[in-house]
Amino acid sequence: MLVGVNVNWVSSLTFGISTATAAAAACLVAPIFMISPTMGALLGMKAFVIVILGGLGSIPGAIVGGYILGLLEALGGGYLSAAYKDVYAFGALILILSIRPTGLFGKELS
Amino acid sequence: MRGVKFLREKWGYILLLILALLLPALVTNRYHFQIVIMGCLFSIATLSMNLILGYTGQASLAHAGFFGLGAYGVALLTQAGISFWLALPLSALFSASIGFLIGLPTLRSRGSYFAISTMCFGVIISIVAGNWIEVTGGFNGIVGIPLPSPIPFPFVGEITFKSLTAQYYLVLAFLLFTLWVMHRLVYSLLGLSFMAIRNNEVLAEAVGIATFSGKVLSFVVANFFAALAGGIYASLIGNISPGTASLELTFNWLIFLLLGGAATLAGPILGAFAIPVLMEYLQFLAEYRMIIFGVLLIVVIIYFPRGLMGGITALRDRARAYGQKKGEVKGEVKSVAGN
Repeated sequence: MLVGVNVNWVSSLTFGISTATAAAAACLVAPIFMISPTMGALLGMKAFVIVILGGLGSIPGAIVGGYILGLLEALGGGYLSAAYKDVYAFGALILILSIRPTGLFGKELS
Repeated sequence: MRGVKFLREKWGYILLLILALLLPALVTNRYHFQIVIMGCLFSIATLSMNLILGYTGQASLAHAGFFGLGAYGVALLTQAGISFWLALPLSALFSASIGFLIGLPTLRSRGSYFAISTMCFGVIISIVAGNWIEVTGGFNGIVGIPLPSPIPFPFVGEITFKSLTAQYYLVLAFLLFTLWVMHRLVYSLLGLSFMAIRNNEVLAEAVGIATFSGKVLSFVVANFFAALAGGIYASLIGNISPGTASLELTFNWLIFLLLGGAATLAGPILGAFAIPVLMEYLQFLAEYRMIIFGVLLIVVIIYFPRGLMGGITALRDRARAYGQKKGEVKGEVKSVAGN
């Protein structure tokens, strides 16, 4: 605000860009999976989990976090038990956050 | 004299208590009465959420998970033949100790990191409840949980919990107990240190408050009461399913808390009663009532960031300030007239 940044405009713009990226991801998902009005709920939750896993504000964190979550779910679901596939991913998140409280690539809090 | 002063200061609360005690005579519709009972139960859960979220500032989203733990604990223990009155504290203590074990790793993280890790734990509980079929009965849940066993009373005879009125008084007693504990806790030195952690954790640590153990204690106490509510719920409703531990329930309580007013004692209760009643009145809109609900939530968050109770307090303060100003003006006029 003080140095001439229009705060409202910038936050609206970032919100717009993130919405557009989410919509792009949805366009790629639509031909592969079934679509339904509530399909976003679980995906949104998982996206949040991935961002937290990688560390807020870190782009490599988001990518690595996505791979970790996806692989854990797929491998755990395939080799151990499909019903518990979310348990492995979410359990891993609790474990990782207990070792690194700000996520894998997150900055340490001062 | 002390009694008179007490009456003069607290007459509103006493009136509310009398109203609550007379409620069974006022509400005759069984369905409405059931809503009141659920409101009391959810008040307990929301009050306990208020302790960790409102007063200590840690957004725990595992709350329904612990509610579910308490419910499953009571269901399994009472079906094993243990009396409800023993099963309830046992399962609440069990949930509190699980909360302690989960709090140790998750409370090291802060803000949204903590929210997400607790949310993951809540989801894990509901998945386990849905898939550990030998113990929890899978997605069908557990049916036929016995009602609380009758209490033998001298002279009066036995108090059974078959009627809704008796169930209501049971839930009300637990609500008052929870409220009392929260009141004692919040207005104690410990409560002040919780609020210090919420306001500025680094500063609180700098002045010598053990922030981590404070957070763990608040988390454990909150989970104890969530499980208590869950245990009573299981026994009164008679059947539970993984939905008892679902994230949806946590978010419902979060809405009750935020709309009612976080970090106040009356707010969670107000929210837990007002919103289900509002929902009943909007029944005719079916699924579209969620739209009204969403708009209401946004309006409250923007204009009353501290919820309904916060809004009421702000209005009262403003009215008082206005009254004082008026009084001052009058006084000036008088003094001028005197001259």
